[in-house]
Amino acid sequence: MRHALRATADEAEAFYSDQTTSAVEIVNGQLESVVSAAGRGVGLRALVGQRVGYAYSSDVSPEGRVELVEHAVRLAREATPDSHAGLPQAQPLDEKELGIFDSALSAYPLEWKVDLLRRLETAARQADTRVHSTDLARYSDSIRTNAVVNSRGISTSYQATSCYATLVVIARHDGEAQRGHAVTAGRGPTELEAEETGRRAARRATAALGGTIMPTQRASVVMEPEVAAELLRGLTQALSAEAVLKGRSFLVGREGQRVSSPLITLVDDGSLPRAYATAPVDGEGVPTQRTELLQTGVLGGFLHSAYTARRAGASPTGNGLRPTHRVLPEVGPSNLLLEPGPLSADGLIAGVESGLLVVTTRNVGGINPVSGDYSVGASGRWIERGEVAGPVSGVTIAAPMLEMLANLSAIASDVRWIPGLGAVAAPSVRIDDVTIGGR
Amino acid sequence: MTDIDPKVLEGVFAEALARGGDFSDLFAEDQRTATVVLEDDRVERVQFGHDRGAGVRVVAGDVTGYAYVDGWDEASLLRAARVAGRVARDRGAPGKRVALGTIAALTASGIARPFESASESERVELTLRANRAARAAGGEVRQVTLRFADAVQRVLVAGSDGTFAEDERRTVQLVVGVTAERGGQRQVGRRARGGQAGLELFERYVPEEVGREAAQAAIHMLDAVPAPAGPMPVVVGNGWGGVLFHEAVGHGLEADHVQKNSSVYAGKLGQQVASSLVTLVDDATVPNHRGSFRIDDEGVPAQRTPLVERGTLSGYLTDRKQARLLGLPASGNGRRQSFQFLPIPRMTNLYIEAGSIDPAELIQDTRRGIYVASLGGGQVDPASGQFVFSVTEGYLIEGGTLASPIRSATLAGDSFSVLRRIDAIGSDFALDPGLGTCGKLGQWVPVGVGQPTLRVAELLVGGTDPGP
Repeated sequence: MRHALRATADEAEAFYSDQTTSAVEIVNGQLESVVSAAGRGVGLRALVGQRVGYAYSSDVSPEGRVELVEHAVRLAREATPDSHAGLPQAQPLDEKELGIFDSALSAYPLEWKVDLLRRLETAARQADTRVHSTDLARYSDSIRTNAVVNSRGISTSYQATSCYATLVVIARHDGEAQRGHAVTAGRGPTELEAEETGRRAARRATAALGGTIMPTQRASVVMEPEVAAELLRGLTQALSAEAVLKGRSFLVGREGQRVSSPLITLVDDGSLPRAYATAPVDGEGVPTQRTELLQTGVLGGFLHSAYTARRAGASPTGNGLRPTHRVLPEVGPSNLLLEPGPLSADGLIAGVESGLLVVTTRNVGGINPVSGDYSVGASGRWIERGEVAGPVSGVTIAAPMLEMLANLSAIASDVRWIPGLGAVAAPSVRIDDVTIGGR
Repeated sequence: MTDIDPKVLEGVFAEALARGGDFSDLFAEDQRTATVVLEDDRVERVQFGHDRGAGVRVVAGDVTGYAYVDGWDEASLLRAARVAGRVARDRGAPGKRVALGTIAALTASGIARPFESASESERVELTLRANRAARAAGGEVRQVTLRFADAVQRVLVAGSDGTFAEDERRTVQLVVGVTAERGGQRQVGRRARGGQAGLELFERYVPEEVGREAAQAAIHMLDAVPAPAGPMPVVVGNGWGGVLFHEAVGHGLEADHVQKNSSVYAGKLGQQVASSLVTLVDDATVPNHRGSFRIDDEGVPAQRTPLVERGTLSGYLTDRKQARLLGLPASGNGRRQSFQFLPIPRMTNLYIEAGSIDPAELIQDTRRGIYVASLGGGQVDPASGQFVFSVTEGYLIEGGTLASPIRSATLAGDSFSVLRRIDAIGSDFALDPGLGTCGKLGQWVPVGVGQPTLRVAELLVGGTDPGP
């Protein structure tokens, strides 16, 4: 950073990240692969006359750093000046214990990890005799250090550990096969839930096995937590201040308005102790916080980076995410929490005369945060007179997202954490008047 | 080109196989990427990145050990070799090695104006030209987002079996996304153009035309009606339309799924799996296309692999490991996102060969259905063969002519049904214009697709309008 300022940058920021990772895969009880690695890198953001240049490299030697500065400063001169461009100011950091580093992580031996995966596999097989084989059983962990230093006084670093285990099983019946996937994540190996995750993968593989395609109709759907989490992730893309400021969100101009059923209260909280997407600061050194996005159906706020906050005249929310040193911060969610309701998942189902319990979706490309269209492939179980009936597979569910938000008629209490880009704490939800595409 | 001394490599393999093991190889990579992002009528940022690293693999029986490090220095490579070799502990004598011969250094040919000789301002100018044209296309344009990126990836693969080769891949891509708005309704139009080329590519793909097309698509979609819901004939446009078969069929032919018996195509070699109109090929040798290379990421020469010939399943896509396990030839499809990943079987450029029908006739011949002009992402479960992909630009077909555009919707089906239900294939074969990137097991690689205009007699359209 000091090199950059000497090289005539007006402002400069260095982001450093190093990571040690290990991964293990087994297939049907047998060890398949072991991967270990150490990597690090630095990214330098230079501002010259409110123009941004960025360069990154895995070469952190003194010569490498000099080269990085030269690149970033030269590239900045090619950009267009932006009066809102600039780095965040240092803010006092809350010193609360976040519980994101488990010092015991590196002590777990390979044998323990293999055994954990075997427990996942065994739980899946014991849950249902139709679970036939493993497609993927993978454990992975990492120890990471992130540091941000900028010319406006930010100088911060933290260490975090994370680990996850994922299981994909194949269930077979009468010549048909279905895949089921489940994942468990935590800060340390003791937080992983092997048996529950194995059973979950089995359920997701078998729920729709032998399923039929229902006639095309409008009906209610009950989404299990994994499916609700996907919808919330799609919605959150439209809640990014960057998307809103740039006109790329179906929620443009709706701040302060009722945009959903009053049942929905949605919060992003990057400071939640022990959660999977928690950190003291975001990717540009801004403290994380709790941000209310929807409050009983009213659109209360958006997710901000330092740039979007300055441009919108708002406060940064600590959502300038930076998964690696290869990218500049981009607005994104941390831990997303949908406030649970009073009912059990069965209670949600009991309120449906005829509809679909959605256990899995195929949703790539199907959720459009700009137009607000939602259309995905779905499978699960039919619901008949408030009870779970036969399997359904290969249908689609679709509705404009604003209608789905308005027609959300119940939320359950069965919150499950779904890790991913931004962890989601999602319960089951019921949404009425959705188009089910079938035969 | 990659400056790693063969003596160092010999030392790496000696270390990797010191405690046994059947095979070891090293994948070294150096990648330089330049990116320009333009949005809000501003060049938001110009970015440069450099990654250099290597990974050492040791195969001992059924177990694979892999370790990767940043940089190429001897100490780091030896450390990676030692860590990877741990899987072979207690397996007896050191593994066998064959001396490295002369390296085969390969590079993409026909690149007239490589990006090393281009300045940042030339790159920026390409995005400015596309931006101006998109903004001028209509008053409904609210946002134009451009991303230009070029990358030079140099790879070296050396193995304890004597494998020793280098390749250089130069990819470039210009992506234009336009948001148009009218009366509170927002729609997106997107165009991308790319390949393995230099600046000369943008003489063929004129930036102004790319920008204008994206804007016109977004504006046009503002008139879209709700998409229908239910099964109906679907005509898929040529070129990028081939991504349907990438999802619906291609992934199921990747040998890792076959070997784990988690593909509907396992055990079906030599069987009729498609309408006899269908010939499907994976081809890494298409000159300068996005999914091409000279050697794959395990040093196996690129090749053209027929997968379905006139409806009969004739091959799978293998990496070295799956070829060994299945007793099949290595087809040169072992690919990885970077040195941070083990190679897995992947498609390169996958296409359906041309038929004989005039594409205009094919639409005239369709009473009611939809025409798919452009597709977004897709997803498949190879075990069940069920797939989806999203229609980002589609039209109703009414009485044999194109009618209203439809809002985005998912198409859903299963692999065998879609192959069996292809009832007409056009004569207008085209490859996509260089926009594909495929994700599998967390690894993203550039791919190509291609096809002529074709019709699937029945596919489920997942719109919101259930009809009368």
